[in-house]
Amino acid sequence: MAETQTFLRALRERLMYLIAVLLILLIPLIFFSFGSGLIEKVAKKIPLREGNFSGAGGVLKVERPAAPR
Amino acid sequence: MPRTLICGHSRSASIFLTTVLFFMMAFLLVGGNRNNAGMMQASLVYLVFMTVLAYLLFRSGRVHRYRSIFFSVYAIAFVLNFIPILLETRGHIALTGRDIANLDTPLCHLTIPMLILPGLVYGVLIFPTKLFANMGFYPMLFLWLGATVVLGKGWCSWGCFYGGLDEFFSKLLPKRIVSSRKFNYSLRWFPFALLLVIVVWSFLALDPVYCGWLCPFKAVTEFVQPTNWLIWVQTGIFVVLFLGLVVVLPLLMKRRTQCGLFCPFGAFQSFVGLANPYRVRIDKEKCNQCGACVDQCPTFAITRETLAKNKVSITCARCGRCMEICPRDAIQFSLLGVPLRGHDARKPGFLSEVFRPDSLFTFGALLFGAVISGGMAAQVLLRFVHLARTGSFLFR
Amino acid sequence: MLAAAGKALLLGLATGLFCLGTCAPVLAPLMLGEERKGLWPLLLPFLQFSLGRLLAYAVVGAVAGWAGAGAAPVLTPRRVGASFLALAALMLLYGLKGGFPGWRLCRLAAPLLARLRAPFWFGLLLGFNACPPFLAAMADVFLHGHVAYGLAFFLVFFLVTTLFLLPLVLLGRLSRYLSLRAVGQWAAVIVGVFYLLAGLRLLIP
Ligand code: SF4
Ligand code: SF4
Repeated sequence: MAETQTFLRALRERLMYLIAVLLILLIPLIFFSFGSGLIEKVAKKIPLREGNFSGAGGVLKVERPAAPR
Repeated sequence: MPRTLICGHSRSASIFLTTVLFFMMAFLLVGGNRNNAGMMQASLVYLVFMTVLAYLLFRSGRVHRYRSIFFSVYAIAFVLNFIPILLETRGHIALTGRDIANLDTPLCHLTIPMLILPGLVYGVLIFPTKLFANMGFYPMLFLWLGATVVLGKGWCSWGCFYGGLDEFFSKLLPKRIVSSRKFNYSLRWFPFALLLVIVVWSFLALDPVYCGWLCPFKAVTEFVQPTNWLIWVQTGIFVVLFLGLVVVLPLLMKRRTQCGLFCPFGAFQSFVGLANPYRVRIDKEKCNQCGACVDQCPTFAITRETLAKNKVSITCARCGRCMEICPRDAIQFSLLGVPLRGHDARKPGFLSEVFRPDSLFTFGALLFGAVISGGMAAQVLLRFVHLARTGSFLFR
Repeated sequence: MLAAAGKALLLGLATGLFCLGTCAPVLAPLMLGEERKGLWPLLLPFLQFSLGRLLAYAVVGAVAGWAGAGAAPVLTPRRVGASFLALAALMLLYGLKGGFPGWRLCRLAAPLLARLRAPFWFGLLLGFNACPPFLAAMADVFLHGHVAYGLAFFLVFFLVTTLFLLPLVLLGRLSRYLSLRAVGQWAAVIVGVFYLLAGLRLLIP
């Protein structure tokens, strides 16, 4: 019993260190994907549009879309 | 003040960590500028600067000191670059109605919590920016997601291009002028209240109200051109908030008052940053409750109450200050699920020194910080060269 | 309706956090009785308690909406502005001072109710608790002057505050709520400033 517990604890620690190293390796991937067009590809699937701003007098205002009642 | 006990790395481990970091930074900083000789040279200079900082940081263990230099340089470079870019591309700093209608406003991460709800419910972006532009919505969102996974709340000490400003001012004076002995620490919950209010309010008004009314950094980036008294009031608010929270209070208190007591994005990041596995933990075996850290934490994240429970608040920005001044080496960066070992109790040996939670965290944070700041820093360097040659800070 | 929900959400968050901070210490022993084990014996008193609160809120919402409908003709912008200012003052005082001495309705009534062991009545009384954010909610409904609006408003208000109470009851973790309470107080301060500006805007033409 105690043995399995020590084993599991050691396993968990290893796993956390693995995650830590993977996080570091993730950083270059993040910055690379900026030039790669990956963001555009994924984001095109998201139904989000740009706002429509009247801009009169420099006031930020969105034309309120029909509220789902 | 008692002798401080700071835990750096052995020379061999420091050299190893710095070398690996150097190659990764070089790959990302210089590699991205292969087509532009000027930017490439400037990036090389910045690369050397960051490498030296990284070595000093690893060797001495003074995470806070060397991070602070990097962070301040980054924020100042951001401001020095942002305003000229506006002048070059738009011809003016202040936003006009035309710029807004054209969606020509660059987005910053501070708006993200306000954009989520309206985006989900109405499917519309309530900030006048383009979805895919360089400083538009999706690139910023993606960057923030990445930063949240890699740095968590550490964003506020390693990634945010505003944070370095109040860090810079909090470092300027050698001595504290206003003591914080009687400070009301419940103020550190104010950003959470502000977050709550602006998220709900922005959703109701379909307008990112924080940007319109409260953001202190308008004063050093861009703001709506004052055409009527209401906009003059807004502009007045920005200036007062900036001078008060980013300049005067940090100077007097030697704390990051904007980040610790105001910034609603910081509050947001405190929550979402829990996705990152690093924490700052206090070793209860070692801590003798001296309270040095309470007095020093730049973001007010350690109080007498949290210390009594050997905890830091979730507002901790992973800045490294407390571990630098703790006289008993009781505070450390740690990995969730890995017990606190203490720097001195570790097995001796090269590998176990490289694979220390704090080494891994600072390594990743330095890499992220260097890359995200690299372009700006290099451009500002080039601007100075340009200034010396032609007498103009603008390229065009 | 959506706007009502949002405002109710905000006020509910502000007051819910505060109620918790004040009432949790008295609420907890009532809810987590001595030898209650299992989910149901834990949940039952909480449900009774919630029912009491819901009832109180519904009554307040409907009455405020109804009264507002009657009062609509006499509500000049000037008077609305003045009442906003009064509300702002209350909210600021409440947020900055952390409640009023002698305003602790639930603390006063708690020993009595705790002895009665009647969560329903406890909830009902707490539902009528007149702390400033609650007054602000009432004022908002009043100014709108619709019974349906009032009911909807207070329904959301109820849901949000319940959201805060639920984990407390299920987990019995009190310590966390002191910081939540601080958040609630600061939210009250900000909402107070908001009312201040809204009032001034109505008063200054
Ligand atoms: S953690 Fe260190 S600095 Fe803070 S009270 Fe304990 S011993 Fe002192
Ligand atoms: S708790 Fe320590 S690491 Fe966290 S913000 Fe405060 S001083 Fe920095």
